[in-house]
Amino acid sequence: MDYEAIVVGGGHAGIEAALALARLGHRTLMITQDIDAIGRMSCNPSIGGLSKGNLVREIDALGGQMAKLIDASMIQYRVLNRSRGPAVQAPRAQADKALYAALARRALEGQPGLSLFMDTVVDLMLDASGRRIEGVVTERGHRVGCRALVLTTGTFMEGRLFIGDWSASGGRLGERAAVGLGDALRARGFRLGRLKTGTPARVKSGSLDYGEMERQEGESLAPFSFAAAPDSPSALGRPSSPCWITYTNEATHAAIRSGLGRSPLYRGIIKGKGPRYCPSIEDKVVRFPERERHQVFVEPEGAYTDEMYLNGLSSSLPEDLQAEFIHTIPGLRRAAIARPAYAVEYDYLDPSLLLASLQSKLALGLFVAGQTNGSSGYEEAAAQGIVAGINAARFLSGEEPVVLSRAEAYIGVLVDDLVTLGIDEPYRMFTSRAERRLSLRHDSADLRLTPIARSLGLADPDRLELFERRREGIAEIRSLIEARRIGQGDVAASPDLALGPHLGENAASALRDPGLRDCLGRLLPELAARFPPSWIETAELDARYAGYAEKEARLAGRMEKSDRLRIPDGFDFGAVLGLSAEATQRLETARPLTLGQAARVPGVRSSDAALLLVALTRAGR
Amino acid sequence: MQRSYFDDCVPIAALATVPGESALAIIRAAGPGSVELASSCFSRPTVLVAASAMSLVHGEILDPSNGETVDEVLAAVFRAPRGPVGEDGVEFYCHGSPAVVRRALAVLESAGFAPALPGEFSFRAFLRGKTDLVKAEAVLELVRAGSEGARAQALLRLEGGLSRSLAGARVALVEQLAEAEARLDYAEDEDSPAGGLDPGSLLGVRDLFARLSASYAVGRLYERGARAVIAGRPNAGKSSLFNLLAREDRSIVAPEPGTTRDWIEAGIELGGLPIRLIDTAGLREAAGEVEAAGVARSRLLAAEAEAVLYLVDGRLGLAREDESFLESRPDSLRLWSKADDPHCAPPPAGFLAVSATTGQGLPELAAALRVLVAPRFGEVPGASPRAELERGLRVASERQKLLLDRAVAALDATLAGVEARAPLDALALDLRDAADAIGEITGELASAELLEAVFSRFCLGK
Ligand SMILES: Nc1nc2c(ncn2[C@@H]2O[C@H](COP(=O)(O)OP(=O)(O)OP(=O)(O)O)[C@@H](O)[C@H]2O)c(=O)[nH]1
Ligand SMILES: [Mg+2]
Repeated sequence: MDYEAIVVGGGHAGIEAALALARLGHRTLMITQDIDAIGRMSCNPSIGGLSKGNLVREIDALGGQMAKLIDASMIQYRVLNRSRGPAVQAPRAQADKALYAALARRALEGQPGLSLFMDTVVDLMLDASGRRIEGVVTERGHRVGCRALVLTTGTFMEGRLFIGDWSASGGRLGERAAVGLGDALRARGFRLGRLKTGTPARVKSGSLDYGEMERQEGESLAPFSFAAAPDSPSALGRPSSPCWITYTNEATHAAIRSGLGRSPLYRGIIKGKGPRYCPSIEDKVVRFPERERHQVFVEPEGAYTDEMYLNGLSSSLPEDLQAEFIHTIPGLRRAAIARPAYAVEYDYLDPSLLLASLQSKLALGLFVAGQTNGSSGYEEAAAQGIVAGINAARFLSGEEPVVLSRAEAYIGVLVDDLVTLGIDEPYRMFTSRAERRLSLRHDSADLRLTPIARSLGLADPDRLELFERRREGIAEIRSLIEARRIGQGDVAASPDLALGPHLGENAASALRDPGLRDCLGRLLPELAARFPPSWIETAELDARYAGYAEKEARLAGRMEKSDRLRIPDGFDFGAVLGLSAEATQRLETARPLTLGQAARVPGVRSSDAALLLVALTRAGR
Repeated sequence: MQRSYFDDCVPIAALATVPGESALAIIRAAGPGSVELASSCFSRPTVLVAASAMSLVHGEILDPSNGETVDEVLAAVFRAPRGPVGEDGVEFYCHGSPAVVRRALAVLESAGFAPALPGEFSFRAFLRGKTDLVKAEAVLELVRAGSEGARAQALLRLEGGLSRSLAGARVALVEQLAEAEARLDYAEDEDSPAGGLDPGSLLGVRDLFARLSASYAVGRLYERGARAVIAGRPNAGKSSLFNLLAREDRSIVAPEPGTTRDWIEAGIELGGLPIRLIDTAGLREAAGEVEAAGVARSRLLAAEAEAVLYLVDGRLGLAREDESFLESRPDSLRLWSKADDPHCAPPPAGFLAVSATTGQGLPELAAALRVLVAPRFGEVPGASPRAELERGLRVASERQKLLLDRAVAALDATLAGVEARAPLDALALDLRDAADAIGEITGELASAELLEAVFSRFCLGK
C-alpha cells in the first residue's frame, strides 16, 4: 500500500497538508494514532484573534479548510480591537470543540484521493544516500512507501505530561505519545529540542457561580471564510454563547506561591522552554509579583458539554493545589474540576534546518509543519500545514515551491521567521512581527492570496466566482470614492463633519483625514444599498490608510531590497573578513538564502550585515 | 596604479597622530607580515619579532641604507585578530618632530610598507569587526581633526558618548513602542497596558535628535575651522597682523598699499577652537584689474566668514569706506592698527588698539575673537550642565545627520498623528521608523528587542 504522499498526524497542520495534497491530485495517506482525535483542539476552545484571525483568513484565501470548520462550529464571534486600528483588528470565534473535530474528520473522509490509517509512525525510510524520503515505518511494523512526507506531530513526539509530581508519557491527557520517532530522528542526525506548553483545568459549568463573574457577549456570528456568501452568517441559527470574566486575587497568589516547591517547572523537572506570551499562572505570579490580580476567561467548550475552559490558569501544579487556588477565585469557589491543568513537554525539529518551502534541508521529500517546527497555536500550525501540503505537492510534480513573501502574508512572515531565525520558545504570531502589517489586514487576505490559490488549482469554482464578484465590486466602490468630489453643498449639508479643508478634493483624500472617520456613508449613501458591508469596508480601509500603507511600503522596501540580494549556494561565511565569530557560526547554521534573511538571523549585528554586503558585492563583481 | 581600500593584504604604515610639532607621534604599521617587515628597520629585530602580543619593546628605528638612528622609540607589537586594527602590526611611539616622522615613514616605506590611505586603518578595523560604524566614523574624523577641540570631540565619541546618548534616547522610544505593540498585539478585552503614547516624552526625544542633527554643522565647523577674515583698506597692516597671529611669515608685508592681491590663509587655534585666519587684499577702488578682482574676492570672503577683523590704520583714521564696510558687517571686530607708532591717534570708542610690531592688544584681540566665534561652535555661556554634556556630543558624519533627520521627521509625523487621533497601529509605524533610524546609527535593530521589552514589562497572555 504505497502512496505519493504521507501526512503524519491529524491535527490542524496535518488536516491542511493532507487536504492540499489530495486536492492537488496526489494520492495521500494520513497516518494518525487516533482517527477519533482528528482536528481535536487540545487547548483553548477558540480560533482566531489578533494576527491569528488574519492567518485563518489567509489559509482560507489559499483554499484551506480551517475557516470553513470554525464557521460551521462557532458558538460566539467577535471582532477584536476595532478601536486600535485596522491592522490589528481581527475576528475570533469560540468553537464547539466536538463539532469542530467532527467536521474536520468529515472533511478528510470526504476528500477524494485521501485515505486515513490508524497507526504510529516510529521511523523514516530513506534511500541509500540517506537524503531522500522513501516512506515510513510504523509501530505495528508496516512499511509504507511514499515520495513526499509531511511530519505534523504536534505535542505527541516523545510527549510527556506533568501534573505536580505525576508525570507520564502522553501527547494529550488520556492520549498516547508517539514514542520512538523522536529518537529515530535523533539517531538519523536531525536536530531536535524540547519545548513545553500547558493547558488549564476544565470545570463543570453547573458548579460555577455566574453571578460573581462578568458576562462577555459576542456579536452576531459572521464567517471567516471568503467562500461563504457575503455577510450571511454561516453558523446559521446557532445561538451565541457568552464567555465570563473573573480575576485571581491575593489568596490565589498565596496558594500558588506556597506550592511552587511542588511545581515540576520550578523544580527543574521540565526542561523544555515554554512560551513567554502564554505563561502559566505560576509564571505570572512569580514574574510579576506586583500584580494584584490576573484575568481569567471562563469559556464554554461546546454546545453539548458542560465543561468550561479556564483561560489564563494554565498550570502544572499538583491537583490538590490546583483545586485550592481555583477555589479562591470569585465564581469558581465551588468549581468541580473535570480535567486538571497539565503541562506537556515534546520534541520539536529545529526549523532553521528547513527551506522556505518547509522542506527539510537534510532529506529530499521531507516536509515539516506545525508544532513540530516549534510554533504554537492552531492557526500557526494550519498555516504551515497548507504551505507544506502545497509544496509537497509541487515537489511531487517537479514544480518550484510556493514561497509567500513577508510583504504579502502573515504566512510568509511566519515561515520566514521559523526557517531563518529558528526558535528558542514556542513561536506565536504577533502583528508586530510583520513589517507590512497595515497591508496584511484580515479583510484583504483574499485579494492578496486567492489569485495564488487559483493558479495552484486550490480555489474551487464557487470560491472563484465569489472572489471575482467581490474584487470587481471593491474596484467599483474605489472608483466611486475617487470620483466623488467634495463641494460647497457637502460642507453645508454636514456641518458636524469638518469637510471644509477638503473642499474640491475627492472622497478618497478626505478619508485619509483621521478626523473624518465616518464620512463615507454621508458622501456616498448609495453604496450601502448596492454592496455588502464587507466590500465597502475593505475599499474604505484601503482609502483611509493609503498614506500610511505607502509609508509602510517605503520603509519595508529597504528590507525587501536586501531580501532580493541572494547569497550564493555554498557561500563561505567563514571567509568574510571581520564577521564576528558568533555571526559566522549563526550564519553557517542558518544558511540564509538572502542578505535580508541573514540580517534577521539573531546574533547578526547590522555591522555584520554591512560586511556581508561588502563581501557579496565583491563576489558579484 | 592607485591602491584601493580593498587591497587588504598589503602592509601599510602612517602617522596615527595629528601632524605637527608635538611631544609624541605615533606611527602605526599593520598588515600581514608587518612585524617582520618592521624589524628590518629596528635596532633589535629578533626581540621585536619574538615579542608577544600587546607588549612593548624599547629600541631605535634605523635607516637600513646607512645604519643611522632615526629615533629612539617604544614599539608596541600587536597580533591578529587583536589590537586596534585587528591585524599583525607595530606602533612606534616616536618623538613628535615632523622631521623625525617624515624620515621614519620614509624608512618604513622603503622596507615595504605602503603609505596608508586616509582612514584605511579604521576601514580595516571595521572590516575586521573591531569597531562599530559610529566608532569607525569617529576614527576617520580623529584622523582628520585639525585642532585639539576637534580631537577632544572625536575622542569623546570614541568613548561612546554619542552612542550612549543616542542609545538612551532610543530606549525611551523602544519602551513607548513596546507599550504600543503590547496594546496592538493583545485584544482589548485582555489585560493589556492602557493609555496611549506619551507625546511629552516623545517631544523631548525629538528635540534631542534635532539638536544633535544641528550639531552636525558645528562638527563640520570643528573640522573645517571658523573663518576669520582680516579686512581693511590697503596698507592698514593686515598682513603684518596675519603673520603675527599665524606665527609664521606667510603673507608679504610691504610699505606700499596694494601689496596683497589675493587671499591667503593659515590655521590657528584659539582656546581649543580651530580658526582659519584669512588675509585679504585691501579694500579700495582698485587701480588695476588684478587688484580689482582681489578686492571683490575680499568682500565675498568677508561676507561668508564667521568673523571679520577690520583694521583701520591708526595713523590715518576712519575713512568713508571704513564706515560703510562696518555698517554692512556690524559684528566686525574693530581694530586700530599700528598703535606703537607715535603718529597713531587714540582709538575711537569700540576700537581695540593693536600693534603688529609690539604685540600690543593681541591677547585682547584673541579673547574677543574667541568670544565672537564660540556660539558658532555651540558654546552657550552659562549653559546647564546637561547642555554642556550634550555640547560635547557632536554628529560628524553626513550619514548620521541624515538618520537623525529621518528620526526627527518620523517623530514629527507620530506627534501629528497623535494630534489628529490616528489609530495606534498607524502611529506605531512612524514610531518604529524613528527607533530604526537611531538603531541604524547605533547598530541595533528593533524587532527581537521589542518583543523582549514587551514580555519583560507587561504581564500578557491568557
Ligand atoms: N609701526 C607699525 N607699522 C606697521 C604695523 N603693521 C604694519 N605696519 C607697516 O605697514 C605697512 C603695510 O603693512 P602690510 O601688513 O603689508 O599692510 P596690508 O594691510 O597687508 O597692505 P595691503 O596688502 O597692501 O593691503 C608695512 O610697511 C608694515 O611694516 C604696526 O603695527 N606698526
Ligand atoms: Mg597685505
